[in-house]
Formats: sequence, C-alpha cells, structure tokens
Amino acid sequence: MKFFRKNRGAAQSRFPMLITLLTLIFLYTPLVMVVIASFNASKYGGSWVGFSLIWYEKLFHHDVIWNALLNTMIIAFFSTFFSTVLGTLAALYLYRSKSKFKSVYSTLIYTPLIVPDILMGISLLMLFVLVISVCGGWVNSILGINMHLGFTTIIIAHITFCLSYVTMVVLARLQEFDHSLIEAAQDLGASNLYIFFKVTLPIIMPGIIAGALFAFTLSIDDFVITFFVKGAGDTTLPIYIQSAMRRGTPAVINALSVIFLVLTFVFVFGTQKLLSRKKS
Amino acid sequence: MEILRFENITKKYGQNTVLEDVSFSINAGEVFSLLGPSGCGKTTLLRICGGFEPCDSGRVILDGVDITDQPPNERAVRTVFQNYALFPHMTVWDNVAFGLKATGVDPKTINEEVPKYLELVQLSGFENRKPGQLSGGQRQRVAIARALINKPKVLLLDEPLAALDLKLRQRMLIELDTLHDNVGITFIFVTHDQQEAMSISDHIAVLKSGKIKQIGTPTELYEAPKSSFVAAFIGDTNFFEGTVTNLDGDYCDLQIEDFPLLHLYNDKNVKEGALVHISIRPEKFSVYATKPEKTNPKTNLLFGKVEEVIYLGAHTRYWIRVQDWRISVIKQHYGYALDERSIKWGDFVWLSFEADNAYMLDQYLEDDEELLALPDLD
Repeated sequence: MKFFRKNRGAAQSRFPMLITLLTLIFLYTPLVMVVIASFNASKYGGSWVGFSLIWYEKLFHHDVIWNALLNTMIIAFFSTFFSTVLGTLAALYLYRSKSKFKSVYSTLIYTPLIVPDILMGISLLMLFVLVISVCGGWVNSILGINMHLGFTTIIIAHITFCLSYVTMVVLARLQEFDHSLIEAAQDLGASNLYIFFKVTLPIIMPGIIAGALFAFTLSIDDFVITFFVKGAGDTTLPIYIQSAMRRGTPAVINALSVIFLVLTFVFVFGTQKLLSRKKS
Repeated sequence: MEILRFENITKKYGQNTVLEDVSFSINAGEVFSLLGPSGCGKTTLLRICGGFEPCDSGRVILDGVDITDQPPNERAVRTVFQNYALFPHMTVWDNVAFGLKATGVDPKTINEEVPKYLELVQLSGFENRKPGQLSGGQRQRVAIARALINKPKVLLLDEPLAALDLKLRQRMLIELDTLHDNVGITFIFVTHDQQEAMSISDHIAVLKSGKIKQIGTPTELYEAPKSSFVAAFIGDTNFFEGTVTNLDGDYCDLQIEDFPLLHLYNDKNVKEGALVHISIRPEKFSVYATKPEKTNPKTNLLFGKVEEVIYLGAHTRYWIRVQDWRISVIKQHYGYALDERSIKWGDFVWLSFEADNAYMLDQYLEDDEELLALPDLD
C-alpha cells in the first residue's frame, strides 16, 4: 500500500488525499459503469449476462450512427477551423491593443463561456430564423441559395462558442510571449509578415493547437445548442444518442460512448500536454 | 569621424520628462557608454536610436542620414537586448542567420557568413543547440553574433552584462572589448555600472533624470568631474564646502568651517571670497601613523582619528575624523598587508594630499552625497 505509507518525514494529514480519492471515485464510477455495460451481453443492462463484444460489432454495422458521426466530424472540422483562425486573430488583437476598450472587448469575448447553453441556443435560433425570414427570399432569387436551418447554422453556432475558448487559450499563451522578440526581429530587418510567420506563429503554435483541440472536443459533444439550431433531419451523434435513449437504452450506445470516451481522453491529454509544454 | 548624432532629443511619458533636450555625437569605431542610475533615460535613448520608441522632438542622424522616422527594420543599427531576446524555437544557427534570411540574402552567402560569426563569438559547434540549452554567457554571444551579422554601422548594447554573475561579467567585458577591436563597429553600451563603463569605453555620457551631466573619457570623468553627481556616481569621493582666500598665482587657500585651511590649485580661476565645492578622491590621500616630513609647501597635512577600517584585499578603506569632517581614504597595499594593517580603529593618524589633487566642482547638490558609500557612524 504505497499510497498510505508515510514518506515525507513529519506526519501529514491523509484527509486531503482521502477526499481526492472519493472525488475521483464519484467522477469516474458512472463512466466505469458504461464501460462495463458495453461489454455486457444483456440488451438492457440491469444484470450481467456475460462478456460480449456484440454491441461493438453491431455498432460497426450501424449506418445511422456512422452517418451521424460523419455529420459530427464535418461540423467539428469546420467549426474548429474557423473558430481557431478567428480566435487566434482576436487573441492577437487583444494582446497588442492599447485601446481603452480592450477590457470591454475581452469581457465580451469571454462572456459566451458563462452564458448558459440553452440561452445561447435560443438566441442563435431566433437570430437565424430572423435572418432567414428577412433575407431568405432575395438570397434565393439572386444567388439561388435556399437558406434554411442546417449544417451551416450548426457550424456558425459552434464557431460562436468555440471562439471564446480558442481566444482564451491563445491569449494565455501570448501573455507569456516576450515582446522583445518582436523588437529583436524588427531590429534584424524582418518585415511584419516575416515576423508573424517565422517568430510569432511558431511560438504561439502550441496555444493555437491546444485551442483547436479544445474547440474540436466542444463541438463533437455539443447537444443543447445543436438541438436548437439544427434543421429537421440533421443528426449529429449527440442528437442521435439522445433520441435513441428516449426509445429505450440500446446497448449499442454504450459501446459508442466508450469509443467517444477514449477519443475525448486522447484529445484532453493532447491539449494538456501542449499547454504545459515548457517554452525552451 | 562622427557616426551618430543626437540633436535636441526630448521624450515625455505623459507629464514625466524622460529625456530633455539631449544632444551629443559619437565617433565612428569607438565604444561609447550611456551611464546613469535606473530611470535616467539611458535605455529610452537607446530605444529611440533603435527605432522602438519615437521621440517627441529632435533628430537622430546616422552617418549623415536622418533616421528619426525610419522603422527599426530599415536602420543600419542593431540591438543586443538586455534579456538577449533569442528566438526560443530556433537553433543557434537559425538565430544568427535570421537577419540574413529576413532580408533575403541568398542561401550560399548565409552558409558562408554564419560560421564566420559563430567563430567570432567562439560558438562553433553549438549550431544545433536551442537557446534553452545554452548558458547565460553563450546566449549573450549568440545575441551579439546575430546582431553583428548584418554588418550594422552601430551596435547598441542594452545592459548586456546585467544578467550575468560577477566573474562572468568581468570575462564578458574583456571579450566584448576584444570583439570590438576585431569588428571595428561603433558600440553604444548602456549600463548603470560605472566600473563596466569605465573599463570598456572610449567616451562616457553620464545621464541623470533625462539630462546629460557630462561627456568625457573615463579619466576625464574620474579626475575632473564637473558636478557633484558625476564625482559621486563614478567612483567615490569626499566633498568639501569652503570660501576661497589668499589667492597666490595658480593656487589659493580654502577656508572650510571647522576644518584646517587647505591649499588648492585654483584651476577654475575662482575669485577671492567665492564659495566653492571641491571633490577629493579617497586614494589621493596618504595615511601615516607618524607625522611625515613636509617637502612641498603646497602639500596639505591633516591630523585625525580613525573611525572605521575596512580591509578589502587590494586596498584598505578608512574613515578618518578630522575635526568636524569625516574623510574617506583608500590606501593601496604595496607591501605585505599584514604589516600595513598597523593602522587600527581609534588610532590617531596623519593624512596628506597635494594641492593639485582636489578638484573644484561647477555644480553641487546636497542630494548627491547619498550616492557616496558613507557608513552611519554617529
């Protein structure tokens, strides 16, 4: 029992460690349950029937789920891309700006982090509906595009909340950035564009990648906002899972959850590795 | 030949005047130091020269060309930053090559030039290291090589030794001096450390509160300070205040309150009855345990009591009370110091100094006395 051995000389209370362990148990028990259930041959859980990989096999042949996953990935890809680019630019501005409104800007950019999802969802839906009803007609007649709720609105909505995270993460990285590096590069005769691509960008890249991973993770498991702004028939994975759960608890969802869990862990670990990577 | 000239530079941050009507010029090929306490404006002046800071009025002329409004990347000056500002994601090679790559020099020239400059700063073999894997001294050499590779007309060094420990600082100072001899580029050296400035510079400008107090060679500044600030900031000194009496050709007497009458060289041609302040460096005094023979009538002889003795290896420092004044004296150890330490705390001693060794100040401010290393003995 290495955990309980006293190894730091003076007596230390074990209470904090105990609380930490309990917290971890509290956090991870449900997840462990899902993992166990995914290997249970029983269709509705409840009792252990036997170890089986049948749900993983079923999942593999489940076209609706694969389609939902593809949708999720498309949406995640676009919203990650745009929110990373926009968020990085916003962070660069906030870092450089000497404007007296700087703090107002950053507050406004951070606000979506604390606005409840449901409020975001409703307000975005109202906006989209308004825009479509006002502009839909002439956009259709001029550009031939039929505006409706769908992938585009989901992607826009995802960009909105991912943007805040990207900005926050990149700005944190920029705050450690030594401004004299820019001056040194200018001093050595480099143009602003050259400095951006050869100095600034490489140095803040870990922050940008971390921000992108953050955005990607947020996008693939968003349910509430997606639920409001999606069009009829658009199914992302969380949306599919929710509707499947209403129709009972198909065990195939458990298998899917485990895969999701693993992917999320990989992303979160990747993000943290990048964020904690020491500047050399 | 003049390479750089500052004309009436003024810089304000809000209400705070950082530089006030600063004008001077720097000769090509010399090491010129900007010396002053923190907040005197020396770094701001350097940043104006590098183009990182605009000045409110005045011009900067480099080699006959007005560069005041040029951005940093168009000026033929390079800066070695205080924290070196090496690019952490690049190797030593890429750091040094940066200035060439950024200005579109062809790869063949880059491959020829970079090893040359790495050799110049003795960093051959370190090409593939990252700055994080270098020591402080090595980082500084990278910063210098990186700045020199573009062959600037002037190299600006902003407190380049401040981040190094004492021994390394002394070694880098000699290396910098050697490097300067090898490349022949004008160095402008910003420092708050008078010893650094003294040991490396051809000329030093002493700044205080945004104004130039004096410009001169290290010897001029040390031996002939114009103001109490320069006298006290560079080295250590003793200040006296007195009235001039008994003019006698080039010499005069100085009547100091509660102090013996002094004979002085009247180099400022001061009139009789004038109130003057003089500075006498501690090492100009000789200390004797017994009354010495007075060979020259202009020699001043004082009698006092030792109040403090600080043994410093190469020399010993004494504070000696002469009537109402306390005098700082430095005695070099020519012989075996264990014998010379015969002068002890509480001893009565004789001090002598030549009339030529006191210097009259043009400007005296009582505040400057705080710069002196006076112990609180009272």
